[in-house]
Amino acid sequence: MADLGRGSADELRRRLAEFQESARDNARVELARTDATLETRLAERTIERDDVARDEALTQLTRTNLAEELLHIQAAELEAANAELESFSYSVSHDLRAPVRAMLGYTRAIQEDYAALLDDEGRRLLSVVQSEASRMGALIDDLLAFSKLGRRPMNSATVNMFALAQEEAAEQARVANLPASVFAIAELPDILGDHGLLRQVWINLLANAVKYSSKNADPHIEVWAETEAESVVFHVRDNGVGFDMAYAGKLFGVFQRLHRSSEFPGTGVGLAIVQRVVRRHGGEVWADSKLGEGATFSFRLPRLDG
Amino acid sequence: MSDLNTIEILLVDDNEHDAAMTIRALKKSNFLNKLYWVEDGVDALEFIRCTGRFETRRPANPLKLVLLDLKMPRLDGLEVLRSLKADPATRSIPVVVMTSSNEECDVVDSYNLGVNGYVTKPVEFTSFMEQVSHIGVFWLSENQRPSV
Repeated sequence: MADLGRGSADELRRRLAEFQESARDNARVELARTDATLETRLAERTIERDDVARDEALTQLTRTNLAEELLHIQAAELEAANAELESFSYSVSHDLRAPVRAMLGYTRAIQEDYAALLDDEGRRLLSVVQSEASRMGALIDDLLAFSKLGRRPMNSATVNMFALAQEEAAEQARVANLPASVFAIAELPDILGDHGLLRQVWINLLANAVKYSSKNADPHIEVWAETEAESVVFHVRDNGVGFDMAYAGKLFGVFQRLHRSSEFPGTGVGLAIVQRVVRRHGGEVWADSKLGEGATFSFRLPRLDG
Repeated sequence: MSDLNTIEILLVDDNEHDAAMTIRALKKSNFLNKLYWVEDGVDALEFIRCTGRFETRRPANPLKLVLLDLKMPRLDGLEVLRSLKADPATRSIPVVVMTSSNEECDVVDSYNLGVNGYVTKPVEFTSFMEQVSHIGVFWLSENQRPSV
């Protein structure tokens, strides 16, 4: 224990200092090592993150490329489908009309040259063939008109809807041999649109109103418009036979009819054309009715000053 | 068929039924006497130019009217029109396209090639009759053409 005297105390102090020094060194080394590890890890993780980011970017790029490629393919397919549709309606116009014309022509020839050889029933059957062939011709022509309408480019300008409605009402009155007073047309605002296409809308809606009120002894057809914040709603109301609202969804489909041809003639294309034109103008069309109480057809178009 | 040298109307149509209807309609309007019917564009050009199977034809007068269908085998109507209107010898022959097609491109192409008229054949025989009769009256009786 003597060693633990004064000398020992010095020694102790020295060794403590050494220990402290070495511990400090160790700590420094350890720290450095930890630092290094940390740095390495950090670096690794950064690379990892970069890799992830790069992968994500690549994936994104691939996705974009794929999407673009898909878009190109779809555009090409759409173009092909359109071209096919064009050639289809072209051959419909040329190839389907010719046989119908032959049927009608020869039926007429039989009626003119051989009527005496047929009895009443024979002549009746022949006239059925004639009227059905005639109906087929009308269907083909209307279908063609409908398909042509979709491909026709729009020429937009300010359209005087009041003048258009008045002109077409006068024309419908003339054709149906009705007094002009059947129509009551309120002042209508101008619209931005295609003059020819909008004329077709008026022709079809007014002709329909005349047709379906033809069994009313005192037909009345009213036309008016309501201006809304961003649009104008045009209405055509008749006091004709009307229709059951349960079938309202079918009204605007091609070849859809709610009445038999024997009651009211027609091919069922007129309202489909109306809808097509109104939609091309960014609008909508609908109808309200009660069976036996007339019908109101309405279409909304963007306001000229809206 | 009447004497090939006095023909005034050339009907070019590959569809025999359409041709029969046109001939019937012209007959009813009393314009049939000087008509000849060929079934495609090659025959049409040979008839007009007196070549091929028509090389012995020696026309007394130029044709007053060519009624031309568009869609035909061998040589279609637009090619016939192009050929006739590009040739000074045949340029003044009135050509009326009479077709089933009411496609805008056909109408535009025909006018660009110098057609004199374009009508779409209606499916209804009564309308078709009227149309053919109008065409006959105008081109065969009323239309004035250069004398040489």
